[in-house]
Amino acid sequence: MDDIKARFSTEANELLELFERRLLELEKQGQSSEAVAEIFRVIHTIKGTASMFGFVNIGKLTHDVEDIYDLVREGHMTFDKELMDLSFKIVDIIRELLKTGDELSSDDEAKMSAILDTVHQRLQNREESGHHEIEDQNSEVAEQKAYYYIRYQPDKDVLERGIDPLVVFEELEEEGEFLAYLDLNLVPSLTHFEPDEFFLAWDIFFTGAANTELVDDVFMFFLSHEYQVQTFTLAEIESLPNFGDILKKLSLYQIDNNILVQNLIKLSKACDAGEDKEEPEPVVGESPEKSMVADATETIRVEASKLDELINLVSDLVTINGQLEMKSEQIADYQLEKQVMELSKLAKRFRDNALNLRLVPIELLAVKMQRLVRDLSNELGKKTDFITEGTNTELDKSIVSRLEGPVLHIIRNCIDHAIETPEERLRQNKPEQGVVRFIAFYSGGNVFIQIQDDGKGIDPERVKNKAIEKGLIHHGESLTNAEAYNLIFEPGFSTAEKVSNVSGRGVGLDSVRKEIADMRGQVDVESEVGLGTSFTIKLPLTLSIIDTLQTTIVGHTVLVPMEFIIKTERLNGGNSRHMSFEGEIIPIIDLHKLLDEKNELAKAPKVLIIKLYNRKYGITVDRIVRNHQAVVKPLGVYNRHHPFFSGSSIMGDGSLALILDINRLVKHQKEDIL
Amino acid sequence: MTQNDQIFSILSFQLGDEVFGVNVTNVLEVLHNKGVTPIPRSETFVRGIVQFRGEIVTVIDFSEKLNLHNNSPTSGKVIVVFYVQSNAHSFKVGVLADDVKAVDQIPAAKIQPVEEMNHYFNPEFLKGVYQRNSEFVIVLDIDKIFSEKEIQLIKQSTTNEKK
Repeated sequence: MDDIKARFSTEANELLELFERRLLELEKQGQSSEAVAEIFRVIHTIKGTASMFGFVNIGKLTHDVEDIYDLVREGHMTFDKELMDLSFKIVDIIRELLKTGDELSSDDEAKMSAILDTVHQRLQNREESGHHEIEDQNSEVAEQKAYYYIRYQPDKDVLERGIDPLVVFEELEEEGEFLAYLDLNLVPSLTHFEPDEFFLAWDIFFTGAANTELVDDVFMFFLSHEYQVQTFTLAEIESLPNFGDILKKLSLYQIDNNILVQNLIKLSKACDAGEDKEEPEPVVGESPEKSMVADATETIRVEASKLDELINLVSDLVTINGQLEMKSEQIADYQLEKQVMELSKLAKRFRDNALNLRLVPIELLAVKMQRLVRDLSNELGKKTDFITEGTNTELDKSIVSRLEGPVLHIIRNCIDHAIETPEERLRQNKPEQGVVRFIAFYSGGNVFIQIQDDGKGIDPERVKNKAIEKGLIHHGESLTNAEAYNLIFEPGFSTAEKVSNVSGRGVGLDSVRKEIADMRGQVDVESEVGLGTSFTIKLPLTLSIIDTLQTTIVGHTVLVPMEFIIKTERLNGGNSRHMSFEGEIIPIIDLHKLLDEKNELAKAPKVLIIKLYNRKYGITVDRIVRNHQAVVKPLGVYNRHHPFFSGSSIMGDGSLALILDINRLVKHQKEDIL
Repeated sequence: MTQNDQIFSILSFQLGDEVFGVNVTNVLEVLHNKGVTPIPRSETFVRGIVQFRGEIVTVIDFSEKLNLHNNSPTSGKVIVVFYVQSNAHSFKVGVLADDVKAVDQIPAAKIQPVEEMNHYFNPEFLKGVYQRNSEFVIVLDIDKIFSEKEIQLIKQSTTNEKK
């Protein structure tokens, strides 16, 4: 996709998100003219620009769809369930088209034509039922509305009198709305035609002016027999004395009684609208713009890649600064040291600021989650309320976008497996509507995300039985509930008895844990049978900096992420696979052997006690050097999937160190044993 | 200009007993090897990583990568840093060499196809061979050697290993 297309696509996607958010708002809170106005504005904007950038299909779609929202906006159509569903489908298909660059797959084509069919049907239904509906709706208004029928037939000498017969139309327009049907019956054949005589007449329907006096004013230059005014209301239109004659004349324009009535209703509408227009329109138009202006002063749109570049530069600065610090320590010049220290402070502040730029509120996920809850609940016949808290919590942009998959997966699970059907809930004395909560908050250097439901909870016994069945644990192995719950994250574990098209997509919670582990995060679950389940995700604020303990192991400099380390110990029990720690027997991961196959376990090296998902492990190292705040760099294309290193860092002296990935290490170790 | 009139700038370097050539458009810089940080448990041809302009660059050994097993081992005195860019990916990678020899301007017509039987490595990776003085320079197809396909194969082999 070329640049301009891509830019349109980005902007349209943002607009769609707004659209979706408004839809969800409407669904939750009922009619809101502000939301409807914004929805219309979004479709209108997309329609206006899509074709221009080569998105012909989007242009076509929005062109027709716009009419519907226009009707809703004008209050002629209500935002009912059908329209709501239709709107979500519209969002989906436009997104799809944006992604494919306006290419329609046959599947999409079917979807699009289905949407357009519904749209056209809606529009048509309205047209057909239109006047009934309006007659009912506006019966008081429309029927009481005063219409004037004016037979306007100037005398033949009107031009000689120096009067322009057409001037009345201008004045009528000023006073209200009118329909004028030209009557050519008086025009003579050419032989009798006199160029300076006037042969035209009109049948005029007029509404708007408060009284007949005003009409008289309009026709003040005409003789009274030249214009005959009759007042009537819609209900009594047929009792107009010469109604038959009028209809006969109008038949020339293929206008019958019904059409005339409809036209008159439109007339009255136009008239009302004309009156309102002066005031409210600018207000309607202004409110969304106002907010945009306010936003514009607070934000600047910057390409994410530019920020990445900035972060890279700042990281290098910090690294070089570290080297400078070391050199200056060696030189031991007081002045130099002082200045280098100033520079260090500045560099660190610079880095913190730069990292801050990449933080975005987790709010960005909220719309997607809400949408999922809505669609899935409808599909499964469940009632679910979705509540978010702390969605202004900020995280690194890359984390937020990578979080989408895992979070949606968990929510899908909540609704599919945990929330009961309304009947079942009522039977259990629970409110009919289930609740899924999404809570985000800061704690320490981390962001925590909790996804809670008030569904049926996870039965630890069932989990254990399942795990035995799947061969994940042995029969009779005693597990605490917390350990049992941990099993649901194991590969190949799924408690859903049957594979539904919702959750059973071939990926389980193990992929959730892996995704989150790849972001150096952790996910845990707690549950109470009958009351609900709570997933807790712990994430670092940013991926590019990490607190580590610098160690050396068989000549390699290895950085171990600090957050996993609970203690450092001396290896007490010789050449064993286990060690005792605070009364517990924990497995040892022999890093020496992993790093160097020939290596025999050295005499009494140090052991780092680490904790991952409530399990403790000992990791052997030769020497603990010091704490090191590492700027994480990727390991390069050939080691993206290294079994236990996930990054590297440039040390103060310019050398390189490898960053140990505890999640991968433990997993690798387990698989090695199996 | 027909294809055969095209002139290539070829950087040649010594690797063990062989002299290899690469198109200079792929070359970013030639570094003195001041030490490569090894990564245990990576592919055999991956010698480790070095820092290059603030980035981490993987250093590989062509004698392993291209299966030049009869070749005498490389001293790895220099590292030729390549920039590989395709639709699918772009990355920098370093290659060990004993020494850099020269940059030649070679017309395309002078680069002759390699007889398959004369070589013990994958002919797909070769563009051809040309003669300079008494030496034969084997021109490598860097884009092919570092193609997405090749990288993908590595991913698969490491994941298979795990299982």
